[in-house]
Amino acid sequence: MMDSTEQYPLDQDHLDGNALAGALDQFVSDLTSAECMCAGCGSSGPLAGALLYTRAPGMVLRCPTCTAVLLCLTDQGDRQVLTIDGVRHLVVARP
Amino acid sequence: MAIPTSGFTGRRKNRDANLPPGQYLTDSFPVLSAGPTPHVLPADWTFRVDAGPGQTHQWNWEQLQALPQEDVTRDIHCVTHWSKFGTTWRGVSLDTLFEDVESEAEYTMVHSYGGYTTNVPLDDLLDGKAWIVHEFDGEPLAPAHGGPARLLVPHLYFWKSAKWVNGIRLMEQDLPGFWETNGYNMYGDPWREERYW
Ligand SMILES: [Zn+2]
Repeated sequence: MMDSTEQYPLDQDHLDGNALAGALDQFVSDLTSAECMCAGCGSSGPLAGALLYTRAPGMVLRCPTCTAVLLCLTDQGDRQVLTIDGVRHLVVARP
Repeated sequence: MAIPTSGFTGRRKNRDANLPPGQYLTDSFPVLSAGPTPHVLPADWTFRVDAGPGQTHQWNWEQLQALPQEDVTRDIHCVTHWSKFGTTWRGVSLDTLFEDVESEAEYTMVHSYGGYTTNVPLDDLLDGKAWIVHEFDGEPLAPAHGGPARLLVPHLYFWKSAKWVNGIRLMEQDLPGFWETNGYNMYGDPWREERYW
């Protein structure tokens, strides 16, 4: 449940992104079980059922239906880069 | 104390001088692939240069083979840190393919079967710096290595040498291709170690 008791500063209609952290816990802790919709073809399935290519300069996850790139994770040594523009949405069940 | 012969140090020095920073030498040819290998028959293969409306040049396999062929030997450098010296290729210089292309554009997007893209400045494709190659080591280029034909632009990291190439689109501004969108450098000079953003 989103925390509706969050105090907004009087002169603002929004919080800063820190307030999102708790709400995203479930996505971060068990991302591979999330139901993922491909932005390319609209098919859905658990991320764990997608196709992962790792013999590459990064990890590339592809849609098992249309092979479009869902997400890509690269390692810049001191940083990791995650791009997710092939994902329309992710759905996780509450524990 | 064992003193290396001058011949040995000479070769060693020469080898090190040809190895960009952060790279190690390999004799194998690792296959890197970010997706399924497209299996394109030469009979179905086409390559196009798209220089804007009404400025499309296209070649099929037969037409590519009828163009002047060059044999090139070059060192290649992969961003995953391996380098391979003296690789031998056969194909058509991009100078030949761009002979009749007129454009003010300074940048290009290289396109491949399977959807891969990579950006390369036009200057880096011309003046004897890049080829569309269809033979490696005297044999037809295997699908795993980008056959029937791939781009070879060996002075940049090897992700720029797009496998399964099927076209080059000219662009007025430099836009990122696949790896360039996903953390890798817009240019990719191995001697300056331009690996990432
Ligand atoms: Zn899909």
